[in-house]
Amino acid sequence: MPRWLAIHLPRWSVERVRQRLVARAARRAVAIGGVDVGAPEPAPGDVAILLVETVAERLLVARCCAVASGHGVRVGMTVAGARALLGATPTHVEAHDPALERAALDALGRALWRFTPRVAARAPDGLLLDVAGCERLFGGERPLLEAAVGHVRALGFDARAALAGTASAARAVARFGPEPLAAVASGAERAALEHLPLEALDLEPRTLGALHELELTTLGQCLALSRAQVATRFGEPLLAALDRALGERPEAIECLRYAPPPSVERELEGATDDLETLLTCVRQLLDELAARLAEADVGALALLVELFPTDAPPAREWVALSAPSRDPAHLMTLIEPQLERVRLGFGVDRLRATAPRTAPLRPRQGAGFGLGADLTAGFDRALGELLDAYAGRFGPRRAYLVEAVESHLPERAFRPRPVPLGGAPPRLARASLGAGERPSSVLFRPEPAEVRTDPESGALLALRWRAEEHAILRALGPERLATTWWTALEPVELEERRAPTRTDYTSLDAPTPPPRKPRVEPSRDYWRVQDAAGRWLWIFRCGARWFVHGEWA
Amino acid sequence: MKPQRAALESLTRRVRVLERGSERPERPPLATGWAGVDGLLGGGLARGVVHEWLGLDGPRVAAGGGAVGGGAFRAAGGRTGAAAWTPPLFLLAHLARRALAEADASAGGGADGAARWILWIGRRVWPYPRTLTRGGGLVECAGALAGGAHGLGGATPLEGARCALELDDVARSGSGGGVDRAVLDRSLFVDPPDRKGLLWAVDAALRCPTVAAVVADGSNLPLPASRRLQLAAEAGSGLCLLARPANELRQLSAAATRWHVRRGGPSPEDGPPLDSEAGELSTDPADRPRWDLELLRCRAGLARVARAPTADGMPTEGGAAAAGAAAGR
Repeated sequence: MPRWLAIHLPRWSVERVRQRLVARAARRAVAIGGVDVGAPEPAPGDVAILLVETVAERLLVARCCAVASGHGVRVGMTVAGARALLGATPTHVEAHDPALERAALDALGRALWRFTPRVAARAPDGLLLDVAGCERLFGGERPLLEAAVGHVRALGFDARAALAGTASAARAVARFGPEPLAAVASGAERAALEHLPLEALDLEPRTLGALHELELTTLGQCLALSRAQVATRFGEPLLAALDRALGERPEAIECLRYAPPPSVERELEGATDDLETLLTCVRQLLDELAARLAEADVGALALLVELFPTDAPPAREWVALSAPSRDPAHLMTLIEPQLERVRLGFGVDRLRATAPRTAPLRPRQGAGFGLGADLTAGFDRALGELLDAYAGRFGPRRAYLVEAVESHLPERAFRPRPVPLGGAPPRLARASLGAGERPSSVLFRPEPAEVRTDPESGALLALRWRAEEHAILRALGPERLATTWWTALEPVELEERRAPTRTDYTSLDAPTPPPRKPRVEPSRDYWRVQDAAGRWLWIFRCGARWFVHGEWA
Repeated sequence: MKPQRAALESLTRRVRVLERGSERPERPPLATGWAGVDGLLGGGLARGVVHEWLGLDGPRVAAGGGAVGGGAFRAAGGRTGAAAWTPPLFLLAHLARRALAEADASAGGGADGAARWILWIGRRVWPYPRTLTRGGGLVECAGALAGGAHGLGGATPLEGARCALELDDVARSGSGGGVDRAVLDRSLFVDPPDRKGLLWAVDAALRCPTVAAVVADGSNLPLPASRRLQLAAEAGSGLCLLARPANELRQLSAAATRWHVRRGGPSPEDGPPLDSEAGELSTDPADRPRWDLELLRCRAGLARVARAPTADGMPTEGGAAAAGAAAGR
C-alpha cells in the first residue's frame, strides 16, 4: 500500500538567501573581531530580501520575504515600487536563479535519503518521499513525519508536511492543510481534500480560471460534480488530476538517482607489507579505474586510495586535482608520495581506488605530441598537472599567485594567494599600482637603523644598519607616504616582534596573530640612498626613528 | 676553411636534432636586449640549458657582523635557510619578462595556444611584485663591452668579458607609463620546504611545456644535482635561470653559462644629486642603480665565435681557442 510523505517549504528561495547573508555576516564579524567599523551592520534577520526577475525588460519581484511582505510588497510588483514601500528598511536585492534553486532542492532531497531511498523533488519548493514500509524503522508514521520535518527544520528551513496514500493528496494537504503536520489515512483522501482550495491540485491556470468563473472554490465542490460533466466542461486533465489525488490512477514520479562513484577493488591472496608490490597493485587499479572513467566519459576531480591492513585501521589517502583527468600515470604521481608514508602494519590484503568527484572530460586527440591543450580557466593541462604534482608532494599551500590590493603601505600592497587545490585559479584583486620607483627586495618588517644627518643642511651622511656602517653618497627624496585616516584596521608594529596574519612572501618567520589595538601611525618619509659600495637602499623616517625597508638588488 | 666550418656546424646541429627526436624544434636563443652580450653569445641566451647568475654578495650571518663575499664563507650552522644573500632580482625579472614576451610572440603561431607562465621557485628569488610590473628593464650603460684577457689578436674572447647595466628610465623611455601587468599575472611563486623538494620542483617545472622561464634558488647545489638540472633543461624548452650566492664561484657546476653580477660602484665623475622627487628616476644617469656583469664560463659550442679578420685576411681562431679552454674546465 503506497504511502507518500510530502514536504512543502513555503519560503525556500528566500530562506536560502537569508542563510547565506547570516553566514557572511558571521564570517565578517570573526574577521573584524569586534572593532567598530563605522555604522553597525543591520542584523541579518531584519534585512528584507527581494528576488527579482526580468520580464519584458522590467524588473519584477519574483519572491519576497516575510519582512518585505509585512511592508506590503507582493509578488509581481516592480522593484521600484517595492523599494518605495520598504523605505528605509535595509534591503538585499538579488536575481532569482531557478536553476540554482532546483539544484539546491535536489541536494536537500539527497539529504533526506536517510528516511527513504525514493525521494523526488517537485519544483519549485516541494519534496516527495515514498515511505511505504519505512515507518517501521522510526517506530510509526507520526515519529517518521516528525523526524523528517525536524531534520529539514534543523537545516534552517521552515517546512510543512503531510502523509497520505497518494502523492498529489499528500502535496495538497501539506501546502494548504490546516495543520503543519498532518497524517491522512489511506482511503480517507477524499475527506481530507474536501475543504482545500482549488490551487491545492497542480492545475493549469486556464482550468482554474474556468472553475473560478463557475464559483467553485473548494475541491469538495469539484469532487461532487459528476464525472461526465467534468470531462466535457473542463477536459481530461482535471479528471486525471482528481483521479490521481484519490488514488484511482497511478502516478509516475521520478526519484532522485544515486550514482555511486566509480570504484575498483582488489583483494590480495596473502597480506603483504612490501611497498613496491603495493604500488604496482595501485598502478593496476588506477589503470582499471581510468578505463571505468573512460566508459562514462568523465575525468576524476578527486582520487581516494584505501589500503586495508589486516591488523590496523584502513589508510585513506586523498588527493584533489585542478582539472579532470583520467591519465593513470598522472594520478599515480599525485598519490605516490602519500602512499609512501602510510603505515602498513603486518600487511595489506585489500586495496580500493575510488573517484569520489568526477567531471565531464572530452577526449582529446593527439595527446602524444603535446597538441590540443585545452585551456581550463587560465591553467592549461600541463601546468595544471605540474601544480597538482607540487600540491601532492609539498602540500596544498606552497604555490602562490600574487594579487595587488588597495594599500599604500608598500609591504602590504601585494598579497599572495595560494593556488587552490582542485579548482580554477582564484580571481585576483587588481588594485592600481601607483607611480613611484620601488626596490626589487622589500622587507615585510622594516629593520631599524640609525642615520646621521648634517645638523645644518639636514643632508644624510651615514647609515648604520645590521651592525654595519654605510657612508651615504647620494640621497634622493623625500617621498611621503602619509597615514590613512582609516588606519584602525592596519596597524603595523614597527617595534615589537609580532608578525601579521597574512603570509608575507619575504620573511621566513612563522606568522602569529597581531594585537587588535588600533593605532595611528605617523607618516613615512622615504629616501633612496646610495652608499659607497654602490648599493641602493630604501630607507624611511617614521617620526624620529629611521628604518631600512628595501634594496635595489 | 670557412665553408667547411659552416658545414660542420650545420651537421652537428642536425645530428643533435636527430638524437633528441623531431618533436621539439630548435628554439632560437633569447635576445637579452643588451647588445654586447647578444653579440658575444651569438644571439642571446641559449634555450634548453642552465644559466647561472652568481651575485650579488655572499651569504651573511643573520646575527650581523660577518664578512661578505669571497672565499669559502658559510653561514653559521650550515642551514640553507639561515644564510641571507640577495640575488640580482632586477636582472632576473628583466630576463623573465623577455622570455615571456618572446614565448607569447612565438606561441601565437604555434600548435597550442596555451598561455605561458614564469615560475619563481624558492623564497629567496621572489622579487617584490612591483618589479614585475615595471615596464622597462635593464639597459646597457654608455660604456661598451670590455674584453677580458686579451692576446688573441682582434677577436673578443668570451671568458672574462664584462658588461655594465643600469636600470631603465621608465618614465621617459616612451613605453607608455611603464606599468605592465603581463609578467605579474603570469607568475607563479613556489615555496618548497627543503632543498630536495626545490630540486625536484625545478626539474618538474623545466619539463613542463607551458613554462616559459624558471627562476630558481640554486644555492648549495652539488655537481650531480646541477647535471640533473641540465638534463631536465634539455628536455624542456623554457629558459632556466639559477641564482647562486657569490661565494660559490669556485664550486664546480654543469651550467652552460656562468655569470658574476656585482653592484656597479659609484663612478667618480658623478655629480651631486639634482633636485628631484624620490618617486621618479631623475634624468641624471648617476641616480640609477647599476650592475656589472662578467661572463665567467661559457660552454663550448654555445657561443658563436666573434670573428675579426687579421692583417693577412685569414680569420682568427681566437674565440674558438678560448672556448676550447673552457671545455677543459
